[in-house]
Amino acid sequence: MFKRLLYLFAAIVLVCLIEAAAPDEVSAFSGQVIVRGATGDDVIELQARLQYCGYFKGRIDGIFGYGTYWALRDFQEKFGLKVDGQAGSATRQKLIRASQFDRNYVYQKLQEGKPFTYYGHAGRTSSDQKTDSGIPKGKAPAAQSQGKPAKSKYTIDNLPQGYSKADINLMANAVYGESRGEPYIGQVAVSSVIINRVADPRFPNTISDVIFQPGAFTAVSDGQIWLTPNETARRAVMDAINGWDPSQGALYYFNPDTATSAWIWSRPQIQKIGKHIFCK
Amino acid sequence: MKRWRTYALMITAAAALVILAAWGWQEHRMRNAVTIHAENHYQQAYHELTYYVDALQNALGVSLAMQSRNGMRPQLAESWRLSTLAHAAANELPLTLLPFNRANEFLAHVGEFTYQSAVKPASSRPLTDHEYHTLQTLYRESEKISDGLREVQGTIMTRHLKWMDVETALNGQKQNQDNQVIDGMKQINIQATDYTQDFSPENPRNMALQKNKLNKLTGAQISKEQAAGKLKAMIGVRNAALRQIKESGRGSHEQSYELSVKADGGPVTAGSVSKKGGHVLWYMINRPVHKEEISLGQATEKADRFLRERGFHNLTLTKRNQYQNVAVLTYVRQIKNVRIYPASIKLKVAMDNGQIIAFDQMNYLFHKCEKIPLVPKVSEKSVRSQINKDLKVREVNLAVIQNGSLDNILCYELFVTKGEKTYRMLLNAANGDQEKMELVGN
Repeated sequence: MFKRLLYLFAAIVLVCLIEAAAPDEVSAFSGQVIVRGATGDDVIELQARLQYCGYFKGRIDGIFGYGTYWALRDFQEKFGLKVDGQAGSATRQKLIRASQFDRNYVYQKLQEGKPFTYYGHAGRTSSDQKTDSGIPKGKAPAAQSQGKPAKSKYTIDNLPQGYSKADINLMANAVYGESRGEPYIGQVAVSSVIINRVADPRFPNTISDVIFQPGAFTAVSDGQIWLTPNETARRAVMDAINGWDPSQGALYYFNPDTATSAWIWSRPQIQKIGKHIFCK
Repeated sequence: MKRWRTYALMITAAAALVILAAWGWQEHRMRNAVTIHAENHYQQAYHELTYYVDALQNALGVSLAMQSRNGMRPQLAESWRLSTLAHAAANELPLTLLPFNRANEFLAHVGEFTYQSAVKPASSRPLTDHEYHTLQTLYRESEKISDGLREVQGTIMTRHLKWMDVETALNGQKQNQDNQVIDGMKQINIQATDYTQDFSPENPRNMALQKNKLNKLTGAQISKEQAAGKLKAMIGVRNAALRQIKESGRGSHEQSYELSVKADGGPVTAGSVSKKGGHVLWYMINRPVHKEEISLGQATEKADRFLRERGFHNLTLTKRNQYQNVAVLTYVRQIKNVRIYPASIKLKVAMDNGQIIAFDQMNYLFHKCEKIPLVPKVSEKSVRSQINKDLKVREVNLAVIQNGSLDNILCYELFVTKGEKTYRMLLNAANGDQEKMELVGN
């Protein structure tokens, strides 16, 4: 009986030791399937590992875009995995075995915000020049993920296609200045009007030209555009950019209590949201 | 003692007065400087506008007079450039609230026409009779508009009129103030109106504005109560109470109910339900999204299930983005192996609990593209062979897209890479022409 217990105890100790010695391979990633379009720590690790083995040559930015997607597919093809372009558990295991991930190094470089590469050991560089040397042939030793990451202070800017960060900030400023007291839908609708004007041939063709067109927005004329926008205004802008248009294609809006232009009343009205009437 | 105090008071008062006067004078000078600066800017923009419209008229005239229609292209390209410059100058003027709209529209037509007929085509095909006729119409109109602008310019110069006054007049309470600049501009607009009317049938841009190429919705008219029920069923909150419901105005392209519902303690859901057929056109739930708990993959599964449960089938996910803690997914209709890009549905998933916090199917409902033939005339092999050898083809799909003149056309969609950049190429499946090429996110 005692012997049996001893065996059991020894077994438990052994298991614990093994666990401690060989780092848990899956725990390197968070354990979730990483798919295209994702952002975050998992993507940074994925990009770093793919770059380590020479498949990913782009910038490590934590955004799973097409560059990462093709790199991952190439990797899957080379390693005889199912080529689906997403990092499931089999793919992650293979990646962990084929590469190393120096978390601290990568995060430090990310926080510095300078371009850097992560090709194997020798190929690490923090300048723009990339060396192809140091790509390990065959299998590299197991992952050495060093503890938990220092809490990430870098920012991931995943921007909608065709929009710069400045565009979004400027729109948020305009929307906040124009409609900060309005319901959320009203703020999305004001953002949509800006976007609809950019698309319309009769108006200027860029976000900034539409916003600064003389007389177009009262918030621009009276300087309220330079107030600091809140999170709601930013959210409204993002929703409008992503395609939600509560204004239903409106090009103008006005506040019926304060509008002075007779002409604006002649436009076909679409609907009223909050205090604003939206029209074509 | 008393006298001394009176003197002191008087001196202080005098000093204050002098300081105040100096300050006032300074302010006045500064204001003047700013006003002059703004006025000069407007003047410059207007002179540029007239100059470019003149040059445009000239360029159109020259291209009409050319011997061969083939040689017109460079001249038309020049017109294209000038129309863009004129458009930019027009947008610098404080005319947003003035009915100058249609003159702007004219510039947009010239730009569109010259681009389609001269800049875009790869082949050196001569202009068709129809295009030649359009060019003549545009030339006649450019004459009228240019004359009108010159007239206003003359008035401004001789009478020393100010654009700042125009701005004040437009912003002011009295709308019918006598302002010669505004009157002149209105005159130009009336001329352009005539032109727009006799031009509109084959004017592609107008279709974008009128949305008359859209599918008609089917189904019975629904009541307000039914509309509220549809929205509640869509978001899956049966016990939500109706807070507000309104009918859309005559400017909307689909008659609908605009409503918002809210369950006790829950967030407000705003949305729009079509009167005909009771389709939920879109909805948005306004609530803060907390720390992300699910992955983008799981968010996609949630969205897939949401669509399946609501009877949407034959959709394929084409775009997926994560912005902080929300995921935005775009699905498009798929018929056999063809992606129908104009028929798209968008979903926004909160990554704290997987709730679908926004939904939009306007494009899906109105752009079903039922009548497009889905068999390519050009083979995939021949399309691949015409691609630059430096490019690596990664993926090929068949897809229907909407081109610049708003026609739905069948294309080969190719994802190609060059170095670290990925491009999406759309090549017409009927003749192999390149319809669109874009750089997609890294």
